[in-house]
Amino acid sequence: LKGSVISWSAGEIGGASTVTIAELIGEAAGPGPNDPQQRHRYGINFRINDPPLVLGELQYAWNNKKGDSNLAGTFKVGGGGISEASMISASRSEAFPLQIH
Amino acid sequence: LSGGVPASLSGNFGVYSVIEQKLLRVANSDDRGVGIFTRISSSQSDRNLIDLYADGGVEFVGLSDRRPNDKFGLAIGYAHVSSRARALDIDFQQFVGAGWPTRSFEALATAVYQYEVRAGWTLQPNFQYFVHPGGGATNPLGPNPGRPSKDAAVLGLRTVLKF
Repeated sequence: LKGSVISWSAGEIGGASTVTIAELIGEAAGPGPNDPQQRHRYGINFRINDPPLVLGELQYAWNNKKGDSNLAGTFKVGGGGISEASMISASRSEAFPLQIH
Repeated sequence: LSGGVPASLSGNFGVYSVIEQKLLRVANSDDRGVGIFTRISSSQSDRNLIDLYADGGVEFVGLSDRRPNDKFGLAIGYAHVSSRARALDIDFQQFVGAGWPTRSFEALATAVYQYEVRAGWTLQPNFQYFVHPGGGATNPLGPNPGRPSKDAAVLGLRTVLKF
C-alpha cells in the first residue's frame, strides 16, 4: 500500500487480546491523470485531505507467552473500509476483461 | 454498452478472519513444531473482482534436530470471482461470441521449503499450481483470445540474506 499510516494499538485486554486500529491515507500521489510515480517523484508527499482507509482488528491469543509448553494459537478478526472511491481513481473497473480502443 | 463512462461506486469495505493453531511443539522451543492456519476474507461483490477468498495450510518448523531452522509448508487457496464480474463476462458474450469464457474462481496449491544455508542466509524454493489462472479469464492479446488460460505450474526460488 502506498501512503502514510497512522496506527494505534490499544494493547492487551484481559491479558490475551489486542485491539488494533489503523488509518491509511490514500494514494500518496493524490488523484490525477497519468503515472502516479511521475506525479509524485520523490515519495515525500503526506496527503491528509483524501478519504482515509480505516482498518480494525481484534486479536485473541492463547498459550503464546515465551516458554509456554501448551500449544499456542491465535484468532484474529478484522475489517476495513474506505468512505469514497479514491482508490478506484483510474476510472476503469478491475473487472473489465478487455479494453476496446 | 453505454457512453463509455463507467458508473462509479462510493466506498468499499471488507472483513477477514485468521486462525492459527500449533498442533505439535518441539520440547523447549517456542518456534519449532507443526502448526496449521486458515484465513478467510470477504468484500462487497458489486465492486470487487474477488468477493470471497480463503486459504489454509500446514507448516513444519525445525522438526529435525540437525536442521532446526528449516521450514516446510503446504497450503491451498481459493478466490471466488464476484457475481457482478461474471455478469460482465456474460454481457461480453453478446458482443464477442458465446464462447467467451465466464470467470468462476482461481485456486492455488503451493509447497515451499526454507533451507538455511548458514545463519542469516536462506534459500526458499517453492512450487505453485494454479487452477483457472485469473479465475478462468482469457488473455485477449494472447495467442488464443477467447480461450481461458490453462492451469499453470510455477517454480520459484527466493533467497534472503541478513547481515
